[in-house]
This record gives sequence, structure tokens and C-alpha cells, in this order.
Amino acid sequence: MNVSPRPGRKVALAAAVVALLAALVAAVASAGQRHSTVSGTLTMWCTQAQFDSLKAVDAGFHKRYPDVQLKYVAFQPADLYQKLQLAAAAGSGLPDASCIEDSHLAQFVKLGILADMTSRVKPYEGKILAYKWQEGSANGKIYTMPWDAGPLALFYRRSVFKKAGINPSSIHTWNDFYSAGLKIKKQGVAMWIQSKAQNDARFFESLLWEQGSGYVNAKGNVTIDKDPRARAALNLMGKLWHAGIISDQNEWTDPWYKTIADGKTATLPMAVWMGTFLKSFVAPKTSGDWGVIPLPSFTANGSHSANDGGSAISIMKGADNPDAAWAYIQYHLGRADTQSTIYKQSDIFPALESAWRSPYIHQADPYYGNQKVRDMFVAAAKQIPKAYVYSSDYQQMNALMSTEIQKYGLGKETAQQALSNAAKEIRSRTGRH
Amino acid sequence: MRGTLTSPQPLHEPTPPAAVSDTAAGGLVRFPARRLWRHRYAYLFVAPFFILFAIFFLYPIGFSFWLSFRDWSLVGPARNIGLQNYRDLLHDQIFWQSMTNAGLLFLIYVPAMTFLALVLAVLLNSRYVRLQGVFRTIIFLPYVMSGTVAAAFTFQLLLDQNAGYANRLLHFIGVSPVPWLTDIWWSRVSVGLLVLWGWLGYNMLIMLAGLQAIPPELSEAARVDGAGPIRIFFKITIPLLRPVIVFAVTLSIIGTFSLFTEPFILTSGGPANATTTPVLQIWSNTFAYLRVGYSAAMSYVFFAIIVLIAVTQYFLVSRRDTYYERRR
Repeated sequence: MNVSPRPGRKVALAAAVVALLAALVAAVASAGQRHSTVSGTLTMWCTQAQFDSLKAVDAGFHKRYPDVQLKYVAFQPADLYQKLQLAAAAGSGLPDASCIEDSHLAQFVKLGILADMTSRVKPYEGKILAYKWQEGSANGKIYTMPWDAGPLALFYRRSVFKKAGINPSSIHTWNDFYSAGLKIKKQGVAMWIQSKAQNDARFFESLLWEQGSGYVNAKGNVTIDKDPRARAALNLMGKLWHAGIISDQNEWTDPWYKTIADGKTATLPMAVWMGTFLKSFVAPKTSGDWGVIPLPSFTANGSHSANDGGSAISIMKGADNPDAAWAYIQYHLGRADTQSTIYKQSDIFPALESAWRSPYIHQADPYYGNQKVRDMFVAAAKQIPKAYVYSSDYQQMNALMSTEIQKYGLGKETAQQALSNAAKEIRSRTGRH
Repeated sequence: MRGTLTSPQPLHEPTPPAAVSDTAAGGLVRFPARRLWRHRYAYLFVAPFFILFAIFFLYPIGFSFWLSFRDWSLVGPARNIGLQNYRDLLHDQIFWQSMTNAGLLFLIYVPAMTFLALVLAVLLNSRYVRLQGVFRTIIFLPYVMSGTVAAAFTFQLLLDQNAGYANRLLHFIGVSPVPWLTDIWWSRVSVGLLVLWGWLGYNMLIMLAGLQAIPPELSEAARVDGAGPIRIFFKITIPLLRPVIVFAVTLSIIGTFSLFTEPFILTSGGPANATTTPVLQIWSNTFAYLRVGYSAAMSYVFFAIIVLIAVTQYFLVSRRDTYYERRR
């Protein structure tokens, strides 16, 4: 048998195999990974905490988009917005995309530095909590992709409630909260902590939101001086202060963390993201002693939910790599699997409703004594009323209202005076009616 | 000012009289070029400062003046609104409160700080105190940390009403807790304390330098005439130190009105705007509210008022500066 090689045929065969393989690969690629056409460097600006949670699903993103290199630049929250504004003013140095909190979003939309994302995000309308589109939209166009919501609930300390003999599920309204506070006060424990002299108006805003109110109405006109709901919110704070069931302490300071860790506050009417702070550094040793019930309402059949915080990711106008940015946003924010992983990682609550169907949502959480708290927050998120707390002038409104609440807390003026003065200042400084 | 910027006098070469008459004769175009060339190396060496000064100081100064007549949100076109920003500023209660706050803060800590700095400097200048270098370093050390976020945070912890060490110490000696950061007046005192802590050493150093420039013969002569140390301090040292004190107080005026980090971290300008300062207001209006033109107008009004105060203070305090006048 002639076994001498016949190079000509072998080469031809090899070439045929290679060609076939190449065609197959191309077919597979075009069928399964149409998105891998995006490539290049993607520059993202966010806060460190936001990156820490987004990174939880980066491995999957890299697998799907191997040609995209991620460049994460982390800032302190306040610096992030200042850097964006300065880069926009300078006309260069903006990232491709940036995380922006809902409270700052409208200001950036007004500034005109965000790219029009209407056609890209259109398919997600109806799949994301409706209220989340409000701050990132203007004149029928959408400039952002919503990320997380901040549904509020009442975190409570199981041992404190037990000692005072109060059944937490008996607390339905703020009146019930008040009565429970009077009992708990006898144990030498406060019901909640709110600084009078350094009040940041966030609790006031949550109380507005819960009633479907805000600083302004749908037309953008200032309403806090006329709206009875605003008066109800501030009067409630005053009532709690007056009865001495709220401890006066500067929030987000070491003594404040210590008050929480030491069980010197019975409840925290706060947003879902407080969970990550409690577990990680505020009170990790109190695991198992916390529970969550719905936020008390103002009236018997009133709303039991509000929003505090929340954020979104926007592509910048004139971004070098908008397609990679959109691929990133779609992968990280637009999928049930990635969003539930991110929620699991950091208590950043998905506004994407399909993520709520993940089995993880229904699992018991040992930090809350094996309560299924995520179900609670899903229920709370569904009920968040439409409200006008944030706007393009939110930073100013918040600062002016904080000052008036401080004066009210220090006994320098009445609740009505505080609301009237804040409204007057907001009107004269923002030119709103 | 203009003279020093455009035609600095050479240090070593005296200007020939001919050049002066050249200017007078109107040879303005020809003359600078010739003179520039003659002193080209000198100009080359001083040029970097003036170039940087022009880019980072002169241009922004001019630009903010232009901006103060505009409505601008950092991005996009700036709309000319004439004097509207200045008119709004007249009715801006928070801005005027910030100016009042700065004035009150000045009265709270500057007299105490200047007096303490003077006393410490005199003590450290006397030959009776040992280990002078060690004491100077210890007193000066906080200055290295002054204006830092870390220092303000530390004070925040110390002054916390419930858990701070300041109140624990007061409790130990039987004094009821002080609302350091939660009362309108105490919060001003707290900011004043933080600034005093940070700047005492710096002021002491200025005073010390001033003291060392006073010829010792004067106090020796006074001593021979029978004056005691306290009389020497009030009749010789303080009068001779007046220009140095004026300098230190002028710096303190500017420093107090421009405070930022201390109130920003310690009190966030609160409670109820009691510790907000003009610079905090300028910052908030620029970066939080994006009212850039308005902040520019604020900066100019703020600048004018500081100049007015500093100049008034200068003439009030330094008018009887006879000793140095005679020496010149």
C-alpha cells in the first residue's frame, strides 16, 4: 500500500474543514451573540457602594460581551454630581454612563447632558415600577434606565417589643405607633431617632410621599403651605418629638449607629437599603433580633408605603461608546436574574418587576429572625404612591425645608409657619408658583 | 497693582532715568519691547508665576464678574439678566444671615485667639521658659490638621451631646451636658473652638516673629527706668507689635468669612443656618443648586464687604504706628 503523503489533497481537505468550522462559528456567533458586536472601553461613574453591587454580575457580562472593557471610576456621592457638572461645563471628560440618584435625576435632565434613551428603554415600560420613570422623563422623552427603588417599611427590634409587651402586627397607623412609643418609652428606649437641630427633612419627605404628596404638584407648583397632608406630616413629627418618644440624635454619625446597635431605638421607619447598613456595619451583632412590618399609615385605610432614595443609570449625551453603555445597562438592570443577584448582594431593591419572581425573594432571612422580609418589600414597592417629592429643584427645596424643620424642632416657630416660610423661600428662589 | 504686573522693577539694575522720560514722552509701544529684551532672563524666570496667575486667578476673577450679570447653570448658554442677581441678593435672608454668622463667629473666637496667641508668644519668647522648641511645636501642631475633614469629624465626636467626651468630662466635674452642636449659640461656639484650636499656633508663630523683631534695648531701657514686666508688656511690647497684630487680625477676618470645611462637616451650617458661612452659601448655590451667576454675584458682594471690613480695621488699629514711621 502506498502510504506516501499526497500533500495536495491533505491541504485541500484541511482547508475544507477550516472553512466549514469558520462558517459554523460565524453562524453560532450571529445566532446566539448578536450583541457581541459592541466593543471598546466603557467608562462608568458611580459611587463605590453602587459598583460593589453592580460587580456581582460582571462575570456574566464579560462572558457575553468579551470585547467590552469596563472602566469603573468611583466617587463619593456628593462628588459624583459635582464631577459630572464640571465635566459637562468643561465640555470634555464625561463618562459614557453614570449612576444618578432619583433625587438628582431631574436636575441633570434639565441640564441637558443626558442622552435621549427613549427608543432603547421603551420595551421596559410596564415592566418597571411606574413611578420610577417620573424624574428621568421630560417632554415625552426618557433620559434614563431605572435601577432601584427605596420602598419603606418599619424595621423593629423584636426583643424591645417583647419586653414592652407589644405585638408588632397591632401597629397599623401612626397613632398606633405613637401609643406603642409611649409604652416603649417606659423601658428607657426611644421609638425612633430624628435630629431636631440637624434634621435633614428625609423623614418628612417620606411622610409626604406616603400620602401621595410632595413639595410640588403635578404642574410643578409649590403646595406644602396649602396641602393638609404636609401639615399632617410635620404635625406628626412634632407630636412624636413632644411626647419624647423620638430620641434627638444626629443621623449617620457614630453615636447614631451605637444607639441602633445597643437597642436604644425600637424601630426604624426606613427604606429597604437600610438593611445592608444594618447587616454590614451598623448592627451586625443584632442578627435575628430584627423584624419588618409595613409602614404605619396616616388613616385606617391609607397607604402603607413610600419611597426614599432610589437610583438609575443614564448614558451621557455625546458618549464615546453609547452602544456598550446600553449593553451594560440592559445586562445589569434589565434582566430578572442579574437584578435579583444584585438585590441579594446588597439590598439594592430592583424596580424591575420580573426580578421579584426570583425564588430568592421568598427565602427566609436569618437577620430578621427568618422572616421573609423581601416579600414584604415587594408588597411595599407595589404600593408606592405617585408623589412629587423630587424635582429639578429638589436640592434647594430639601435644604430650605430642613432649615424650617430645624427651627420648628427647636421651638422657634409653629408647623404652619415652618411650611409657609419654606414655601415662600422655595417660590422666591426657584421661580415656581 | 497694575504697575507691578506689567513693569516690575528689576532687582539689581537700577532703571536708567532715560527710560522713565521715554515713557513720559509716549514711547509706550517701542519701550516695553526694548526693556523686555534687555531683562529677558529675569522676565523668563518670573513668567511662570504670572502665566499661572493669569490663567487661574485673573481669568476666573474677570469671568465671574461677567457671570454675575448672567443666569447660568454651568452648561449651555448664559442669559444676560442685568442686575437681577444683585437685586435678588439684597433680599436673600440666608446670605445675609451667613454674613452675620461670620461676624458673630469672628467676635466669638478671634479676640480670644489673638490674645492667647500673644500671651503664649510672649511666654515662649521669654528666657524663663525652658524647652521652648518643644512647646512651640506642640502649640503649632494642630495647624497642620486645621481645615481638614478629619479634624472636624473628631470634634463632632468629641462634642456629641449624648456620647461625646466633652460632655462626659463636664459631667465628671458636675456640669450639666452642653448642647454643643444642637443649639444656635453653642454651635457657633463649637465652630469657633475648632477654628481656634487649628489656628492658635499659626497666630502665635506670627506674634513670635514680631516679638523677635523688637530690639531688646527698648525693654532694657524701660527696665532701667523702673518699669515692671506687665508695664513693659502693655507700654512697649503691644504698641510695637501693633502692625503684626493688625496683620494677624486681618488674616483672621478673611479666614472667618471664608470658613468652609469646619461648618460644613461639624454642623452642616446648622442648626437653622446658624453656622452657615458666605462661602458655604456660594458653594451650595453653585454646585447643589446650579445657580452659578447668582453665586458669582454673591462672591463679588462678599469680596467687597471683606475688603471694606479689612481696610476699616486697618485704619482703625494702625493709625498710631509712630515708631515704625520714624524708623523709615
